Amino acid sequence: MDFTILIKFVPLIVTGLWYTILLLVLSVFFGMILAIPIGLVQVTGPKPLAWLAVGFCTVIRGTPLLVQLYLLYYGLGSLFPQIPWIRHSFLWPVLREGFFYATLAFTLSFAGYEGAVMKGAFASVPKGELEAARAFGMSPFTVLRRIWFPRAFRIVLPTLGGETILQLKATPIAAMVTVVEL
Amino acid sequence: MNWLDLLAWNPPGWGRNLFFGAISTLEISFCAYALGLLIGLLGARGKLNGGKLTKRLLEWYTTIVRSVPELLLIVILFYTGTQGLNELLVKLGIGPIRINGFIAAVAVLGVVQGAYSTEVLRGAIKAIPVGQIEAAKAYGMSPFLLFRRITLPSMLPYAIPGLSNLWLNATKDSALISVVGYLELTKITQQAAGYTKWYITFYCAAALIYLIISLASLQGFGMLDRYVRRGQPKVR
Repeated sequence: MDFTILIKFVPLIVTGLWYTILLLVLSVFFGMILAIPIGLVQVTGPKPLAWLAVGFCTVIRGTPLLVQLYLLYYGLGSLFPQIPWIRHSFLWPVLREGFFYATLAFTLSFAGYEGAVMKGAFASVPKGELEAARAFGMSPFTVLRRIWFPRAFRIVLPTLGGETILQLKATPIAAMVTVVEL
Repeated sequence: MNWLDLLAWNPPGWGRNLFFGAISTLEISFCAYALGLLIGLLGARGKLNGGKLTKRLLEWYTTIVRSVPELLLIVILFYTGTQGLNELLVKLGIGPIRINGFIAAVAVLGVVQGAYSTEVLRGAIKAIPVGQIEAAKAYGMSPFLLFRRITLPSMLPYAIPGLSNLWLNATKDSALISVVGYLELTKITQQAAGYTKWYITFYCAAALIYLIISLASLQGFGMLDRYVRRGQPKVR
């Protein structure tokens, strides 16, 4: 085997590394933002919303990421150009790229897996602490911001690390839709 | 043509193709899972009571396979594996053979699965109280009898949740095999969608099939879990 050939590709590899990291950071960040309400409504939300969230998690976790990505890239990607106002809007250069669909698919997938994890975390915060917070007269939102979310986040942190690594290992799938990553 | 015609059983509908794609996906996943379990069982045994060299080698195997992305592993193993095997056969004077896509797919996924199940089974075996195994040895059980009567039944409750996850991963990882051109559900869907241009319909159908496989397997593993836990006190 001849590894000197690798040297020629160093610049390309660096670009690829950059895209991999960008994809990872974007999808973990937005996925986490989505996951918090998804987890929360499963614990306290009204029934229809909770069912919706459970359904979303089940669908995401029960289908391969590759199929989700193809569905978004080929499915949505073939719908968008048919709608004129999207085609002429300023968003078009972004919507044309495989990178956008990869980020979208990875974000949704991360949100699905993380939503289930967050549900567990929210449910495992001791009831007494929440009752104490309410007894102090905190509004539901303040309870969430001051007590519930920080406690749940601390519980979820070790899992989050593992999930992020799993997400990193999923990024090569983006290569299937013309994203040049590592 | 509406979407029902496209998913119909007979051509021009693609229902039959999708069905056989799903069967093919299940075949690959099942064989790879079985191969993975075999590797896992031997690997766990080697990691627990093998020699220093065996332990070192297995450590390398599980660490590398579990830290490299599956897609990359599949592509690497599929191409270099078949190429390497052919080179070896040429050197031995047998000449190159065309390697069956199914066997290559199963071998590649099986090696990946093997690394994960080695860890799952090792953890499960380690969770058995040592006293039980010592007691069985004191009764003079042969290693095989010991495995069948003591180790296997008492490790299964610990192993089933992990193994259930692995099976779901196997079905979903089998979608990655489509990348190297093997005709399973994802690849057939890709062809159907590309041919008819009805992307959303076909990918939704494929997603639904995968979902059904996943949900059915979850039910199955739930039943298995209840069976192997029979006689144990209920948690909660």
